[in-house]
Amino acid sequence: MGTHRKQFAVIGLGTFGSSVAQSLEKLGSQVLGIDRDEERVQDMAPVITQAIVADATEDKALRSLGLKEMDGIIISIGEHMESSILITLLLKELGAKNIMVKGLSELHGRVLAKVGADRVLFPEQDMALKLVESLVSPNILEEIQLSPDYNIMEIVSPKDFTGKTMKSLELRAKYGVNVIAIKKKVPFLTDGGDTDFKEEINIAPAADDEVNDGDILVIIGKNADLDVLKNL
Amino acid sequence: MPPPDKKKKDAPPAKKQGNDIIELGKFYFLNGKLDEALQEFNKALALEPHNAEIHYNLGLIHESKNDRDKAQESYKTALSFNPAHKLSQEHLNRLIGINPTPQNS
Repeated sequence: MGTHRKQFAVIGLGTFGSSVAQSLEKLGSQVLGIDRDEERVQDMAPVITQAIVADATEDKALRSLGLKEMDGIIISIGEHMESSILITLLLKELGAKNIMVKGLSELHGRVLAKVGADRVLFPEQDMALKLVESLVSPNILEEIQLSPDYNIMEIVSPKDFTGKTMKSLELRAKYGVNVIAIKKKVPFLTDGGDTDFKEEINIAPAADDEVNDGDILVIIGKNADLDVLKNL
Repeated sequence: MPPPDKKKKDAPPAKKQGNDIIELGKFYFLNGKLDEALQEFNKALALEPHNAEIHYNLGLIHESKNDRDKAQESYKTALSFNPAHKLSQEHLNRLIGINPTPQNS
């Protein structure tokens, strides 16, 4: 009942592919996993909707899988550039939508775009960039670029903010940014009498909500305004 | 007639005092007073430097303040004194990014 469950195919069930497949399934999508390697398929079979052994570079095999109807297809093939190029081309000819392909190099990415990939993914480069950012500015935990001018940023709440309410901080008036969420570590006592905390997220905090020591603020705003806040 | 409160009397003074300080530290932590909690656990540590529970709680405070390096160090120290300290292991694993165990809630 209710909303239509999205359907995705993941071709290539290596480290990246299987992570994508599992996460999609966990978030409520139906996932078809495809790999040439029987062992990999068997590993994934219990955790995704369907896992099958097939050679996706074969036109006939690909046609029999009903991939045209999928909401998206992720191609994640490790070492063979030509395989992912070929599969992208075949899928495009089939009329498949939303083809996302893991690129192995910049040149490979350009070829993939030429043959019709809707999106080229570089997970290692993305992760490297994130790691570098976290090393250079440890207070910024996450940054999502919305447009060249606007970003969403996660920052550790500056010490001065502790104990103040959203209203009294006046972030919109003073810095021109909006807090869209506050991530909190909420302490509690376990059944065994030990202290621990759990992470909770307060979406769209109200004017009276207080900022506590160690809170993480999720802020949206212009890059220039966010830069000011970063350096507080 | 046995003396009342025998158990309390038998505890060594440092241990008893340490326990009181730990309880106070936990109280502060549970109320979000991280700086005060930190102070108490540091006091407790001076009395019982090999107590895994104290190091674990210091880890919690550092992690709550988003100081991941210090938190990791505290959890590792806790585990060095008590390798079976489950909560320290869980928090440490999560900070390192391996084997994420879901938090009990």
